[in-house]
Amino acid sequence: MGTWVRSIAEILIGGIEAGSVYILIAAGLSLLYGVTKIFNYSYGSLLTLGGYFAWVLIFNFAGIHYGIGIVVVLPVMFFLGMGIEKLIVFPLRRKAEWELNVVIATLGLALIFNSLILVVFGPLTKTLPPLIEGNMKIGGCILSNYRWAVLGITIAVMIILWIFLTKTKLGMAMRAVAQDSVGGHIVGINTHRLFGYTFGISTVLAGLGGIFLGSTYFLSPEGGWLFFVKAFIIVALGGIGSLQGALIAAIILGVIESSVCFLIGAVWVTPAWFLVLIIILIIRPKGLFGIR
Amino acid sequence: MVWRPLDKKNLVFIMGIGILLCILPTFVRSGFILHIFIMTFILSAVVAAWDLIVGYAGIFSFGQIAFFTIGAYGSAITSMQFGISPWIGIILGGISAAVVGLIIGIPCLKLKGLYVALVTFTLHLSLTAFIYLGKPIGTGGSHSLTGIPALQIGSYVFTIMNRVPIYYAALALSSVVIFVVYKIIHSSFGMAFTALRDAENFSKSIGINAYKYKIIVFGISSMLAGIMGGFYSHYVGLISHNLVGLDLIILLLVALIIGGLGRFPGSVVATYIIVFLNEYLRPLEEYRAIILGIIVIASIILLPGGIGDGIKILANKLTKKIGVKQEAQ
Amino acid sequence: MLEIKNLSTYYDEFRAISDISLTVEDGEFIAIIGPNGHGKSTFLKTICGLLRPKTGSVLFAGKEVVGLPTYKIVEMGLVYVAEERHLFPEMTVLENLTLGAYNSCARKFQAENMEFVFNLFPRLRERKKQVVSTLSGGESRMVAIGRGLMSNAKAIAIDEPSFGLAPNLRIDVFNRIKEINKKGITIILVEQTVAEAMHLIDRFYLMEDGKIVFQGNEKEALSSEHVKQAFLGI
Repeated sequence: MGTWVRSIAEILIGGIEAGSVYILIAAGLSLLYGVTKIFNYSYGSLLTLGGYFAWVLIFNFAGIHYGIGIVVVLPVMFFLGMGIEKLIVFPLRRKAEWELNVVIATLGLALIFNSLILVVFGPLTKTLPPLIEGNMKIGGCILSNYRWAVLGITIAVMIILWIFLTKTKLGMAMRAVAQDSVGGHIVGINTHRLFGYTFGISTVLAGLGGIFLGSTYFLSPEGGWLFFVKAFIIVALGGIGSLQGALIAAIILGVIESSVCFLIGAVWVTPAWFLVLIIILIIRPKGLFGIR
Repeated sequence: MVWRPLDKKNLVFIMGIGILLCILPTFVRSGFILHIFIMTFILSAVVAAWDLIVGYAGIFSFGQIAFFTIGAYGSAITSMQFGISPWIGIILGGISAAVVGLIIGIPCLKLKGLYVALVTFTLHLSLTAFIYLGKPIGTGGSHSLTGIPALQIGSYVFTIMNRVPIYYAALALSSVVIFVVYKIIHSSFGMAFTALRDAENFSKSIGINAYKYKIIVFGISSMLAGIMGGFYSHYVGLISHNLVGLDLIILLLVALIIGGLGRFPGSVVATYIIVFLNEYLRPLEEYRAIILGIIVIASIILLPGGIGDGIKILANKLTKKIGVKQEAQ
Repeated sequence: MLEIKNLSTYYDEFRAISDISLTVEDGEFIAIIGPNGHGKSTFLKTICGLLRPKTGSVLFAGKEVVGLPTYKIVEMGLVYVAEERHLFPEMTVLENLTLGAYNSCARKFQAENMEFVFNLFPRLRERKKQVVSTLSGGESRMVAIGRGLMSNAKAIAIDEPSFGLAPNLRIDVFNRIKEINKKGITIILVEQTVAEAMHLIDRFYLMEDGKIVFQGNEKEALSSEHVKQAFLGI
């Protein structure tokens, strides 16, 4: 009996740990697609880039604490995101077939980013050190302090995001444009600038998620693709347009991943995600809380 | 913008190229160069079938290489485990790819484009895991699958010792496949798609059922990709999960894009260019992908119609120079 | 206030409005009537910046507006109230109205404009916290008009506000629009018929096939059989 409970507890905790990092990258993607209706194929590369930037800061400037590294990387990611929107997305949006063209252009960008990473850092994987060392013991399970820190930071970031979206004018404008973009024009929102900010925020979330993923797992030049797909499956399950949906879905899928890994084996994890996706699309394409 | 079908002068141009390709082995002896041409034939057929669904039917699929690989493994396994002739194996490979395509397509094609993109991309990424897991049925697991029987006609075996016969076989097969794609594009079937693509609401109002057509085209395209995959596996004799790594799909994606979506035969021509470019860039290693990425972005911003449009413009300019009268359209 | 010259807007090859020229003075209440699908909405969307014309010019308060993004035109004081409303469905009445005051000039006057809107449409005050997707057709139209008012506009272009409403509600809508006009705000109204409200409106235009075929006041309108039929919906 005791081992049963222990196993379930381990699965749940593992799931929440995995889920908490997924929350960040899912939120970034959900926000971006919800507001701009743009599918940014370089999202995976951006999250990897965030991780590598942090790596550069920590290992090349010895003595920089990990936390400071994060704080420096985030604004860089923000401006990178805005830059992408301005230079690549904006010129394309005015022409026909922009949806497809933006997908292609961001794909091209992903190629460039991934190969730049390969050129600069080499093909071997790298890991980031954990934020906090040490473990805790609760009822027979060993939990690392680091995972708690990640969970804590994620919750804090989500709260900040929530306050931003509901209490600030810009945040409300983002939600408004996500719900009706023509309405956004009608009330005089400068959607060009708004898209820039949205890209920026989305990239920050990606970068932060990438940093955490880098210390939880590892960094590799092409590793971003898998996380990109996972982020999207989470958004699909949660429902496009719903940030709360994405958060809940992240936890659910984190737990599913943890269970599959624990009960069946790590090899089955990717097929499991694929299966979940097909099932969602067959049973409930709108997702759990989808608006459209 | 309406894309007019190929007219007579373009066809003459293509005939010319075809003849050149046929006589090529008489003055090219290098096995290596012949190999590149063979790969180009195979891959251009895959890309043509891909253009059919992305450029014409408007389905953002990333599954083409996955289907290619399913066909490759399907064909290899059936001939190795069950001793079936490779020719039949190729067809079985095509069918298994089509079956997977339909299983995925039926739920997804009802939904918005980005879902298809996501599902097919996920399929591509998870295929490696499926190959590992498929060890019991003969996929070779994490190792390459070797010893795939070569094609043979009667007692003649198409080995890689002499690449010339397989060169012609590849040229013939890919020409057939590309011809099939061409025929579909210009059938009433294909016209319905162009109508759907250019004027969706109008077409729906006169009763064209997009979903049914999409399913059919998706199935056909995956089958064609699977067939080329099967042929590939019997040609090289060795396949591994690297097929669904990232190199091949990125390469063909670039070809598809710079060829111009829905501008047949732009993507075919682009494949030739890209495959050869890729070989020349090989010494540059990692910088290769950066260059490809820049090509993609530059092409989509500067010339969204790709090489397909470029050919059209060029062909028009040439015929004007020679003073050939424009055929009444 | 508004000077429109030779305006033509196309949808691909199809010319929706051709060579429209008209002028609206400060504080006027004008109406553009005409059958459905003949270009009235296209016209409004073009002058408010939601569509780009192929030829022509639109001068608002002396400045050329063609080619400007919508938000700049809103800042200048010209606002569009759409037939489809385009409200933010998951947000409350209050949030929708607050967003109407998004542009910087409007924020200063947010409180007074909000008060005016609630006085004009008391029903909305009751339903302040209600999510907009749950409102009735008439109520959501009120929110759309209210939202337009919140931008502190000097001129409002309203697209078929009374469509599908019962006759007594239609009169109500026109009366309230007249209230807005009394405040000094220029109104450009587009409708299929205005039988109930002809006495409220200063000048009329009739648009058919994307062209202006008549312009004049109430008396002139009623003296032409053809125009009378169009306006009164007979």
